[in-house]
Amino acid sequence: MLKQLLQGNQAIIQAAERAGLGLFAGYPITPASEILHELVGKKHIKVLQMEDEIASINACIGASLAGLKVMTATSGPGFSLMQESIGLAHMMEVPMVIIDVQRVGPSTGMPTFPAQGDIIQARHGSHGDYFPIIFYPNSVEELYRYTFSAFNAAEESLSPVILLSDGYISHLYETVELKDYPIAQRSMPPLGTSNRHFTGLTHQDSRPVTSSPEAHRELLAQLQKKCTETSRNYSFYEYIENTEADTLLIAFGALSRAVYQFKDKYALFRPIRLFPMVEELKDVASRYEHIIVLEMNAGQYCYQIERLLHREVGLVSLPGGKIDIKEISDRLQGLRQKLPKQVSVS
Amino acid sequence: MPRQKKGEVAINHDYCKRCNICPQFCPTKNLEIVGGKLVSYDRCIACFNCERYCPDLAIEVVKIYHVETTPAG
Amino acid sequence: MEDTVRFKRFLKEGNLPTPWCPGCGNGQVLKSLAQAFEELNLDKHQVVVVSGIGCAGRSAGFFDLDSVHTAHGRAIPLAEGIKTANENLKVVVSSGDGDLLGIGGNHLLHATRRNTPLTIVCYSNEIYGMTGGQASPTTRLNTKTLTTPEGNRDVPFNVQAIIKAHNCFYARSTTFHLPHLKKCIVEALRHPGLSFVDVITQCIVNNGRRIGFKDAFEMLMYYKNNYKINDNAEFLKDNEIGITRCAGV
Repeated sequence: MLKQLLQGNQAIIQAAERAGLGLFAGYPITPASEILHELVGKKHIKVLQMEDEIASINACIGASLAGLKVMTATSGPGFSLMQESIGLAHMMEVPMVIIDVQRVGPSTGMPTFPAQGDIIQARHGSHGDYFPIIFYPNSVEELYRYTFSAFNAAEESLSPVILLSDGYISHLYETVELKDYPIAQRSMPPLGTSNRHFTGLTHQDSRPVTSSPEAHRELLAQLQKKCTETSRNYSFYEYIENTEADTLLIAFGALSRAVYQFKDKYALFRPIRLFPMVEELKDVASRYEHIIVLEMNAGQYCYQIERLLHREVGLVSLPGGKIDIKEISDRLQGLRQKLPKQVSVS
Repeated sequence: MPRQKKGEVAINHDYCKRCNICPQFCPTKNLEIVGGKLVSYDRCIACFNCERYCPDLAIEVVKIYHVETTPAG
Repeated sequence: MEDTVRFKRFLKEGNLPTPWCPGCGNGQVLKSLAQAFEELNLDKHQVVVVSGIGCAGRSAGFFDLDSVHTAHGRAIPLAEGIKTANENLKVVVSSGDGDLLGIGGNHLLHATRRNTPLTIVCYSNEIYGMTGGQASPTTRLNTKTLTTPEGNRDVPFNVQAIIKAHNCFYARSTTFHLPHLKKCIVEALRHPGLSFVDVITQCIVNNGRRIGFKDAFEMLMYYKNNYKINDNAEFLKDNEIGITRCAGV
């Protein structure tokens, strides 16, 4: 098996190419730019450098409808610009992969320290209701592997799938085994073969229906069912059991690499599919008295977990791009003493 | 002898929005809105102005071809 | 069937009537587009129509071919994505002035730089009609609208200068000059690079009446009297319509 030393962003490219990427549209932004740089010049991939991220995602929607597998890559500020059209892509059922290499925000923040501040934006950034599938790997090898998953889930669910990364893992160099994974093919005929009308309006059978609450609810239910059912084939997580521990730590992405340090004292759970949330967490969490979430933001995923588990969850919030083992250790120690003993409600 | 009508104006009342564009384009005053409804008379000269300018695809003009006959004898 | 209605094969008659107000010029532009497709005898599977948001944004849904109704202002980059993915398709953008020149203005600038082979038909009614009549990028100086009660002080968007700056195809016509409008669209569709057809069209309900026109017909008569056809100009004057020359094509 071919092994290569790759940067995180390069691993994404290697996988995207093998998964059948046909067009990439993007706008330069650190720490995602390498993806744009290194795709330029590839013979079988069309690359558009657009005037902004709004144009990029819309070019992707167009090219996807025209039959190509498409991808765009950006970071927080650009991801914010894309939000409206992410909703459009869900409404029009357009498969695509969106890479968001997170950096510190809001706004320009600390260019370009890593962060995990786009968790809720990735889930709820566009207006209205939609049900995106979101992955967040924690190594270069995993960026490679889950880029395949993102492309496949996008084709299966006919929706934009988001692959979160962060400044650490996208710029990290690690050895990757360039395995081949199964590849899903496009099920929808391309533009220029029929008389369909793709619209962001609420619709029934490609006809706008703008004043029927029933039609809207039916459409939403369809979209939700489709994404939820697809996501079941992609229930990725990592669980490191510790039968002597009374506390379960939950972390993901770059930070979870540091949290591995604590596996002697704590049990660890790392969701790789952040949304829809992995149901297995409910069962795992019920075995521990305390749950502590660690994330590089002010507590975005923590609240989602509280909602999933219906119990109080501790938070170690680490915004600002710093990962310091000593700090994490002290904060965990302090927090554990304060947390009430709880048994999960089932 | 009265002038023969040269066209048949077919109005689709489901599409017509009574915008009053076609009656004002018609050179023979063959179209009119009467009681909130577009009506046509028998003065059509098949100039196609109404069909052309209708924004709502509500009018189709069909030309009538008159064959001149010579009395047998 | 008379030849004059053969163009209807490009439209979804089952979706009619259109949602536009009585007297709105959008229907006339819609027809002209279909007539231009008919004149070029295009295959339905060869054309894709893309629109943005607003009154004119609803136009895409009436074509009996694959069509896309995008987010506000995003018709052009989406159309560029389609064209890049499949160069064999004729990609037509059919949208309004607020959509293409206002919220989507930056995309237009850059599409002309790239000279992407698209045909953009801009329904330029000088107003944001669907939202009730606010000033748009093409609203004329001193015109009173909901948002310019004392008269518009902003200079109208000089779209001709923008398009011509990058040597793309520019034509202008009105909904009075319908045979000319069709000719403009046909020539635009034949153009190998980016082509832009600027269609001056009437919004009687949310613009015309407020500025003193009695009905749509009166607006059409204003176009008739105000605009002269000049199909051989380098650059059209304000009171001219026509197909401008495109250097090197």
